[in-house]
Amino acid sequence: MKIWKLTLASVASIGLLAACGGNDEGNNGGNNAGADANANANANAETEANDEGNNEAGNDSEGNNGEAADVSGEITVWGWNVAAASMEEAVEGFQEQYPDVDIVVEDIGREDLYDRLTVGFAAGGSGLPDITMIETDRLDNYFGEFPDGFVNLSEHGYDDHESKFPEAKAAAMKNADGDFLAAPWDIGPAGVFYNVPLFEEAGVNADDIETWDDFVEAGTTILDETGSQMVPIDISNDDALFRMMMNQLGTYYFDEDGNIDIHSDEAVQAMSVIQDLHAAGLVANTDGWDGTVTATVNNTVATVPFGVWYAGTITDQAPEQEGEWDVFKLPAFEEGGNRDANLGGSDLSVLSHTEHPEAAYAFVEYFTTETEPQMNALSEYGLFPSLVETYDDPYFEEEQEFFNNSPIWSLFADVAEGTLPANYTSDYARAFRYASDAQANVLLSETPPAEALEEAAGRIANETGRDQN
Amino acid sequence: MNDTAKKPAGKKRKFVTPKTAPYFFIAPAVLLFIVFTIYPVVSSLILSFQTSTAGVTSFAGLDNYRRLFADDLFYQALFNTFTILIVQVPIMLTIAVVLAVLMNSALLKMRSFFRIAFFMPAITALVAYAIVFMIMLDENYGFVNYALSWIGIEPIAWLNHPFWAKVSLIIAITWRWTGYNMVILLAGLQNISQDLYEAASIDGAGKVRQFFSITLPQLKPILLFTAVLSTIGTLQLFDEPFILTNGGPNNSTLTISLYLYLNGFRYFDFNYASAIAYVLVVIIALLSFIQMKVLGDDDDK
Repeated sequence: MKIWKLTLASVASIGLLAACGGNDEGNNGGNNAGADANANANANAETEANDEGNNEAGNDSEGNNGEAADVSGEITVWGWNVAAASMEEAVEGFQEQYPDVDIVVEDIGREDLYDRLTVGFAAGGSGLPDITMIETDRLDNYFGEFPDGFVNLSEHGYDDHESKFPEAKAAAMKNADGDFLAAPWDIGPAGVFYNVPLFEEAGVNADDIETWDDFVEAGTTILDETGSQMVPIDISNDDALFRMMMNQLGTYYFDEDGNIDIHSDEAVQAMSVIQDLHAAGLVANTDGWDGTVTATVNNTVATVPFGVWYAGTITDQAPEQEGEWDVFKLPAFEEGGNRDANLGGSDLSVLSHTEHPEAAYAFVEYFTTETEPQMNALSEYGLFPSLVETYDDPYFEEEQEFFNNSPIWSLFADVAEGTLPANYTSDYARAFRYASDAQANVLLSETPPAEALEEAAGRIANETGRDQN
Repeated sequence: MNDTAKKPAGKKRKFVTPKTAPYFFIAPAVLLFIVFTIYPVVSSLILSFQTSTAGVTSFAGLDNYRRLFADDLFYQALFNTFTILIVQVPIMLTIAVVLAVLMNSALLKMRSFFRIAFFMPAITALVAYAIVFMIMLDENYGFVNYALSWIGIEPIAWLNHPFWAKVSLIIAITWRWTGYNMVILLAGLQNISQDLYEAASIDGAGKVRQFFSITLPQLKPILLFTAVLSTIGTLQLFDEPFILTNGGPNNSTLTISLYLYLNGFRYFDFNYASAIAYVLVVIIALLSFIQMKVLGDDDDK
């Protein structure tokens, strides 16, 4: 009897776990709004219309109408939130060129989409769409683990479009062999959003902030004069600022050869600046995405260094603060140093089990390389295109009322073009987590940055077998 | 052929006879059990002995297990889980017993209201409950810190401090499962014969004495049951750390199940995740066994 009970208890517990551990059933525990709320800022989500109208994208297709006639089929596309909506709106324009292709866009929550994608790949492709959206920093993770899951876009001729995108963005779309497995869509050029009234009250001029040292100094003044802190950081769960800084310095978790570089001198330098900010009392430790947004709109912080997509969040969450926000570029590490970095962005991939690869490719090509759908996604939903030719659109030069009448889009376009490449690698998810741990370690437990990052590097090396620099 | 011919018509072979009928009745359940439990259990056992790089799976022997026993994060997860277990389960069961006795008291009015109220957390949607906790425990804007400020206590970083994050989890789990255990214990209480209490009163035993000398010993099998269930549940703790703290800060609330999930669904290392699952199963089996031994299981011979 005893043995029976024991066995029963064990079996019951295995059953629960197996559902998580096995790749068969795809039970994913609890993915839900909570996780979404907690989801770190990578999401280029939440952006809302900033519709200053003007959508004269013109540029009628360089149409390959010859082939178009043969291409047909029903294509399913996965995306989330405003991204799904902007694809939906592109269908009409697409069908003018490819009347026989039907596009069905399914709006699936971000975390949910990833879990379904993972499970679908693991199950050999069942239940997957023809096209899916994937964030740039997650691409290598999927390319590495499921290399056969993606259609090689280079074989369909996507290489011809390579020069249309910033180098760093295009590089992230390729697998180890240099083939395009994803098509670049939106991008997250980074800048510092700042609260104009707080700056004015403290007598700080944003133009004078050129280096991170200036930034700390300005922050101290603002804290003294207004009581507002300088930056929100979700200390234990997101290292966004650290990543932007590393990107500025031309490094990232891994170097271009895939070796662990999270403990490089540059990374230590970046973490030290964050430590300085924290030591000066300028960091508001926020809980998750909601905490960050709250801190932004209620004057807890005077600046938010983030990707361009945060513009949509501010306009959406604090419409009454129109005219009170503006943007400057990330401060450099030394005078005249690099101020360009990227945070987030997403892309479209065609999945290899699709029955209509031609049709799926046609949509991806249309959506990512034509200016019209890309400009629409920007003006209607704030999704910042990586397609460089869109930056010539007059829309970029327009002054944005909400942002203190500054032409912020052109500032971000400038950042996008100057951003250095980052090698995310297939072990990005691990590195991201251990970097956040290191950040918590430095800020909350006062471990020296070099030591905390060494520990993270060691941990990543242990688990991935990669070499450390 | 001859045999068949000779058989009388009435003895034609039937599938459904009184003897076979039960098997048909249980067949659906058994089939589902095989597909959704046995198959995953076996499959993840096999997975745990394999390794997969770039989509190619190969046999790896005990590599995953070797890696696991050298993995300091796994030990950290183990430590966190046991810390929560050792603190939380006794607190919760104590409260549950006290509540159950109160609920069972004849003096209590509106008994079903209280029973339902205490049981409610167990059936509350997990997401809703976790989000409410998240909002209440927020360091800067949360109600808890606001309330504490009335009595002059400085804001506490409930979810952002290694120590307080664990405390928050313990509070959350206790809130959610105490009522559930209370109901089970209450059922046990109602099975205790009133005669025992009457006899004790006649012998002059007070309420407290009755509680320790009658109620607790009589409740022992039920207590054992709830202790085992709670232990298993806490060892598998996932939802609360996943939503409330994401295992942070700096892994101070990383539990074994959360680590398992991260490896499987974040890092795509299903093989390693399966190995973790099996080690967890062994731990649960051992612990349950010890609990049954220590607390005794006399009425089960």
